[in-house]
Amino acid sequence: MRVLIIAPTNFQSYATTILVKLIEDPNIEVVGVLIHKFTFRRIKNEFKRDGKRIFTKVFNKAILSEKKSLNYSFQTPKKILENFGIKADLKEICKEHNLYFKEVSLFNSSKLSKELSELKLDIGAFCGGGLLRDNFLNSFSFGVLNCHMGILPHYRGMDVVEWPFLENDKFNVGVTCHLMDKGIDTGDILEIVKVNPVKFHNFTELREYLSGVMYDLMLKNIASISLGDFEKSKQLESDGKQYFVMHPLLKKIAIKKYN
Amino acid sequence: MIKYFKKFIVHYNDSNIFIKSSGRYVYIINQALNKRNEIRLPFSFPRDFHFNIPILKRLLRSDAKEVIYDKNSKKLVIIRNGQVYLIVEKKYRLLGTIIGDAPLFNSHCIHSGMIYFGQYNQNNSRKEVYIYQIDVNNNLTIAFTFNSGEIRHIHSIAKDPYLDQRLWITTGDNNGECLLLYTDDNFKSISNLGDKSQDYRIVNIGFSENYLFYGTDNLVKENFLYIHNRRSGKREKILPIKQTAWFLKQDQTGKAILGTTVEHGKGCQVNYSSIFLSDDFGLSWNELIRIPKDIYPMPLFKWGTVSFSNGAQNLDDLFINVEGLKFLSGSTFNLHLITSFSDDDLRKIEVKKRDYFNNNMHLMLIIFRILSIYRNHKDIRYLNVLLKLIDWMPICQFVEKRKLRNLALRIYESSDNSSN
Repeated sequence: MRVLIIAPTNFQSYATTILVKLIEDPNIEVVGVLIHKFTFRRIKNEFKRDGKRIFTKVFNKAILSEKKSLNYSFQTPKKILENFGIKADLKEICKEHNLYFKEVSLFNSSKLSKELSELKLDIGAFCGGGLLRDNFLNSFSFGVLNCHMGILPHYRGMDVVEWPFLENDKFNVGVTCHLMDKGIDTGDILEIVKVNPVKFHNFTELREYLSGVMYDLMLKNIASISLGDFEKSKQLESDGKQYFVMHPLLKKIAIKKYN
Repeated sequence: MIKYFKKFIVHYNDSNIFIKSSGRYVYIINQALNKRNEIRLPFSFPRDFHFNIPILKRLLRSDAKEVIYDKNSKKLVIIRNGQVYLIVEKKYRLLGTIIGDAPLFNSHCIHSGMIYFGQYNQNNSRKEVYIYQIDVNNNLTIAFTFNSGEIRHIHSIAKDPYLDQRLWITTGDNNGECLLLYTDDNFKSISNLGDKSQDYRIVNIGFSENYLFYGTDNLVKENFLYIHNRRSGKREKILPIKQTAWFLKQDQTGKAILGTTVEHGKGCQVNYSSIFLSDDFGLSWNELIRIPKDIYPMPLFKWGTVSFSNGAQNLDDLFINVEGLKFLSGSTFNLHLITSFSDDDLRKIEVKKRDYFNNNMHLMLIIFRILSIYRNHKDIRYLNVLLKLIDWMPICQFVEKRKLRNLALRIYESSDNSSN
């Protein structure tokens, strides 16, 4: 099984942990990493999608949660890297292991698809970075895997850790490993892991826990696929709803409900 | 294509002809020939002394007029200020004068080349009331006379699409004056169906093969949407409404739209106008939108109402004219804009953000529409996008923003409490 990791930045702990673990696995052949380059266009698009909260999101992720996540009792990608004594730097790791590494401003260009086809890839491990179109997805013989921080098919899209609380459905929180297609979280489902949110104090802690689940689930499913031991179930568009970035007032209500 | 106009009333639109007006100007656009005619009706004092100031136009009733277009004969008649004009190309010819200013908006009837319309004025002294007719030779005459004291005025005249010769007439306003009449012999004889009370105060009627459907314009009691069996004469309440029902339009597929009006009186319990849509000849109705009344006092600055254009084969092509309602008064928009709103539009709004909207009027229209969708379906994604749209309203509307936000959250709280 030839696997390519697709990551939103060079320094993402989640993608780095998966890369490190896959390199160790003798049954998997890691081809390399594809990064979505930070361009003005990308920043503009993400700002358009997320608004001002993009700044708080970056600040929280890069600075606050980096330190916090190390204090949690459960496993998180950052903690795993810390235990390994590895810095999240995909480019450096690829260089060290002589792997393919590329930063692109556009995932869906025909030039890139052609290049990826020549790499004869089986699985893409998607760790973020934007929407993928058919020509990109078709470059992988099996498909591109994504671990979605929500229960599919019910909770597609954004902020799906918080949305179940507003829907009075808080036990429908978890992670779904699925194959990506051109829709938003509408591809075939491989595995769902539900998490009891009552065990955690707040959304930040819950999200950190879920990121650990995502990491486990991604590795587990890549291994299952490589052994041919997997089942996938189709989802219909009408099986679920797509959720969008949550308005701050609703977020406040969700936080209140969590507490 | 998004279709709406600021400061225009759309009177008629079909696949070829589009007729809109503003004040004494009427614009006839022949879309097939790509030709546009502008008719300037005679200046009238004081109603045309408005300097194009919207609120002055409203006060002076400068937009009030009836435009009658017969698509078979291509005849165009405009009634304004009690004068009946025949329009030929860019010129008008006076056919005669009538009592009152103009008939009620788009409540006339065209049957076998004859145009019928009713007298609509205050008529406080309850003088005789006339139904007028314009024949194929363009002679304006009286088709029927109601005796002095019999009725106040005529609300509408409509051709029954299921009975060859039948015309329906509705009148008002007080108890004893509210008639639901029909004639099968061009007004030689005329019969009444109701009890003449305000329970039968009706403006427009809709038709199916077996029944009539309409809403009441009762100012003293609660109003309802009814179906009225043609054979038994019995009627059945379909839905209570909180305001008076005036205008109704339907297409041949069974789709019908009905608008309610904010007026003074016990029949009006709320301060907003609603638009209802039916897909089954009035057997069931779905509230599409609620538009609040604006701050200007009634009736000096008009009631809060919505009226509909004539001519649309498909109801989605119909235009809705808004008067006296918040943020949208004086504007007109295509019904399709609110009926077609779906999950896909939610996605488009989330992606395009403010670029989805062409102007504030469009934004407000969608806010009111989403509010109704959320109220009816309780889908929290609609509340989410609604709160975002409210944020995008101009800062100067901060009071309205707060009101709308509170209203939206109150709906959430009430549904949340009930689901708990």
